[in-house]
Amino acid sequence: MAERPIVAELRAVDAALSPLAPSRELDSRIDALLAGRAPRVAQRRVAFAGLGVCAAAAAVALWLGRSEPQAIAAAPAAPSAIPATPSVSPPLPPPTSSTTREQPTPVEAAAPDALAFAEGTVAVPAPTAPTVRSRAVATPAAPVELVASAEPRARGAVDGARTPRAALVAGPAVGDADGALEAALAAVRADKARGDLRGAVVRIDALLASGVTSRVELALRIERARVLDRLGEHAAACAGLDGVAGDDAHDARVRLACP
Amino acid sequence: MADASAALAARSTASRGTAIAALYERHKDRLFHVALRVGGGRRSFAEDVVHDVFVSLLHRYDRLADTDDLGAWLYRVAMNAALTRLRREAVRANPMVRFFLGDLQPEVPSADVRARLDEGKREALAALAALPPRERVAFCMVHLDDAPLAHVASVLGCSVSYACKLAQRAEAALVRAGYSPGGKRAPPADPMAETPLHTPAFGVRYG
Repeated sequence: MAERPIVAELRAVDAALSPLAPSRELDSRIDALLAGRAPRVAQRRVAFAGLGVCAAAAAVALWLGRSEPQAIAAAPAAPSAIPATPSVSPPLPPPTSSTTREQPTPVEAAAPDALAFAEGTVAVPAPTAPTVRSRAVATPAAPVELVASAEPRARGAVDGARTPRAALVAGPAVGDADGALEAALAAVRADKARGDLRGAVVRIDALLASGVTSRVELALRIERARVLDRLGEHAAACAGLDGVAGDDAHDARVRLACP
Repeated sequence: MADASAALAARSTASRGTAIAALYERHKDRLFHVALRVGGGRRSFAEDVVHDVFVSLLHRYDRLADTDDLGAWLYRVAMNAALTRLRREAVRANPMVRFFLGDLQPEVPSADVRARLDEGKREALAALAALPPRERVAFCMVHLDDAPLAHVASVLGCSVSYACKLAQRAEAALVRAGYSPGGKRAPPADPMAETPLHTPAFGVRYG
């Protein structure tokens, strides 16, 4: 076979194609380019950049949505019996995904360590490792005190005193006492700010007579002693602290130089 | 020289857009034919290359210090854009990439190109299109456009000797395909001292 000269062939190709001209579409593209509109390549790059930003935002959103509260650290390690029918209960907040307790699975119900309690209680099976996370914070039949004093908590916050088990063990929630104490002390301070020291003493006496918890009573008695001391009734102030136990009362007695 | 005077006149009397438009009118056919050949006779490929060339020109026009050699500059940019597109197509032709992004359009000449070529010319164009991108560009620049090896090397981003080697490889591949390297010019003694693109030897073909 005779060899054909490739360069000559391709030059002939060039000559044959020389009458061809770019289409009008290329002219219009160049006109658009010169008119200041974004070139096609740049538009594509912007589109890819936009897609990249959207994908990154979606990934971040998924990552944030995936994270769960870390209250597992405060979750009860052992099963607990919870009253099934609380006596008086304010309306419960609507259940959320983090506070709704899962129904026990058949496997859990049949578990040998599922404990049955006396009448009026519900059996809570011992949490297994996979179910601990989903039950981290929650029991539907929470005690009345806990539900009444429930305060919004930061997501993932670990507060052992607010867990149902801690509430059962420790009695009334601390938030109740704190709230009552703060309210009472705020009223007393308002009286003091107005210069109505006598009115503050009367208010404290009324609060003490209405029945408060021991912790609130202790704080009010100390405050009453301070007010009486400012009124010049040192003996009455010391008398009010007589028989009151606790370090705070002792400190107050020392500060007032009571005998 | 005509480029220089045209560019100078356009710069001095009209806006930048007008100057570029004048350059487009002057060079579009030549750039289109160069890209059409490198692209294996595909009109869309050639028009995209020309478009890319003028996008580059628009971005760099103010930084071009010497507009005397704009024809050669446009030619080199066109070959660079063609090489970029050919490489991208080579990546897209990878089976793994094709699996994810779908099949490419086949690299066949456009209908109007096919209509103007007889069987022998079509085979020659197909043999050129069968070369790898760098070899194809090197062969076209060295053997068909008589470009200096230094310019070929700058377009390919390699040394002069490697550019020469790429052209030789392409030639060998075409010889294996049944062609003889006809029209080959004698290699210059000093590749860096070759005739520049804007000399009449180059300008006669595309001036």
